[in-house]
Amino acid sequence: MPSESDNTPSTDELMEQIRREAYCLIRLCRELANQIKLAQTHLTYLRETRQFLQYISAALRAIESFLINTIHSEPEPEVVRAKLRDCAEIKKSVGWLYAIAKNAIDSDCLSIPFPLATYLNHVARGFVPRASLVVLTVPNLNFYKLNLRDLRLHAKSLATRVANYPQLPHSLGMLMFPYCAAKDVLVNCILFHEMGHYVYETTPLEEHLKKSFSQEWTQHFTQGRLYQELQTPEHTPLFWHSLKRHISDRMFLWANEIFADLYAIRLLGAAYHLAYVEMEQVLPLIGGGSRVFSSTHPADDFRFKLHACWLERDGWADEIQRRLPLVYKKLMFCKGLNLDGETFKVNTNTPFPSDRSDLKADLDSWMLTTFSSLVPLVESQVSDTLNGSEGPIEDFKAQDEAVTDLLAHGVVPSTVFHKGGKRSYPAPTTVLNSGFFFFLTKMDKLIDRVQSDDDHVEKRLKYEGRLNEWLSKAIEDWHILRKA
Amino acid sequence: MGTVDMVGSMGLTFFCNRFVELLFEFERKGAENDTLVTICNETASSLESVSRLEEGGTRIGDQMALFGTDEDIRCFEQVVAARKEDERSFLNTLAREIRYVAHGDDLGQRKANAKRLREFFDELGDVCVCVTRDRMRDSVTEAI
Repeated sequence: MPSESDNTPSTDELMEQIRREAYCLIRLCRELANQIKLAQTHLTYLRETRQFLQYISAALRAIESFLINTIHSEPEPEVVRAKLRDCAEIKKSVGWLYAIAKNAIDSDCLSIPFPLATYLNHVARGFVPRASLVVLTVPNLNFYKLNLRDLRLHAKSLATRVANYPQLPHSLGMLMFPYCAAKDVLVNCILFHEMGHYVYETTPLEEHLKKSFSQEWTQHFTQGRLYQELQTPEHTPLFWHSLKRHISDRMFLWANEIFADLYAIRLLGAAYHLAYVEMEQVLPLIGGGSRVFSSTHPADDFRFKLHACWLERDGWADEIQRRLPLVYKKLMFCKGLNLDGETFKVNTNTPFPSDRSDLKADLDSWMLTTFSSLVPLVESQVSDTLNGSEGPIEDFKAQDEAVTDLLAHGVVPSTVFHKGGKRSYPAPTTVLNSGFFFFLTKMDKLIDRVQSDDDHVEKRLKYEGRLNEWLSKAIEDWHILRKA
Repeated sequence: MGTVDMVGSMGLTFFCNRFVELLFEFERKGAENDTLVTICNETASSLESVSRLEEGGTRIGDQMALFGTDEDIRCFEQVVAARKEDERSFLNTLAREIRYVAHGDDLGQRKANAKRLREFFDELGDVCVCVTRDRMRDSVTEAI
């Protein structure tokens, strides 16, 4: 019978395994680097995407050097397992780089909403110096922003082992959209929200939230019923740490979402809310649980409550009421809701034993009340962040009628001609808002004017596509005309 | 593979690897360096702060070296449970031994502590790699 120790690999055997893994990984790194080079020779990319591809190439070079050094190394037996673990973690990093490089390679200028991506970068630079927003296609039917904080930590960790592993540029942001939606500029208004997540990371908001949250936690969990109930031997220090992390993570993620929503409304206006409502029709991940806070997102009805307040404050509510009474009605209904355990629910995996649902109900209610007290901090941070930047409503009010008229005649609304020969160029925010209202209220009139053998459905779909193209062209033109 | 799956406990694994190498170097040469002292201090503080949390400590949400993610906590719990140790006293002992490596008087004792700690962090590192790999496997299964 062989003993357990016979089965334990020797240092030489472990090193042999490490070397085999290293050769495979080097080959993979080189193949990936070649794919990136090849793509760059025949495709055109947004400058920011090009820079990101260069970053991936630099990361692959650093990993390759590390692996070559590993192949040549002769470590002591006591540290050879550490080397093996290094390789295991590097495999994961290469796996991630492999996937994200594919997203970036596929995101050439023709595969992304290029004019909007350029505009988003232009806007972001007003808040983050040298902001660099990479807009990437993803196979999922959803919009999101990559968690750069985790990736930065990851790059930092890697750099402790892999010499010259590049740090993610501080100004980098990665916004992801469904790969078929490149031409759909209206739906891509959601990207303003994703940009809000990017800006959130540059604000001191989370530090402020942490302080307030910690005060609430200390007060509640040193006196409340939960604390008494959980003072048992099986609730160890790590349980408490885990519980507090669980709750604070929820709060900060919800705050992040609220920040991104309000940022998008303040910066873009009604079009963001309308894009959100529009996306509810097709996205599997939003809608449905309108009164339920998930582990990452506040309930839709609570988000709409805040949308309603900010749309009213910024002068959009009247415009919505006049054109889209049903949307207005829903907003006003949500505005009247209270954030409490009666109206809203929380759906998260709280680390309590399954037979203590009473504790979970207590905790959920406390989380909602506490979150409610944190929302004003978020609102005030949005106001501070956008302080001084021009809201979109004035330009919209001045140019909407003319833009709508141009769209009704199938004309790209880049330039508005006024009496006396004066011209003006509607801001992209106006183009998007007028375009959205047009899309939701005037498409049938446009279609009626068109002479075609297509049936109504075909005509409608064709002209929805055209409308998006006109709007996209108008944003593209604005980049040139504003300099004129 | 999502970003979260990729990051997992990677920070903790790399931390363990680095700490293991530094402790081994100290065992061999008996001379500590600034990096070892800094890492010892930070690690001991992290462990102590975990113990303090239930008393209403305020360090939650900080980027703590050892317990930055749920996976980190799970890995740590797994290693402590396998040793059949009481978690609270184990955390305190670990913090005390780490501080002794950096600041103790008796070199022989410091080396002996370093060896014990090296073995512990080697084990923790192995668990981290397995836990994260299992999680990645789960996420792939879910995706399919």
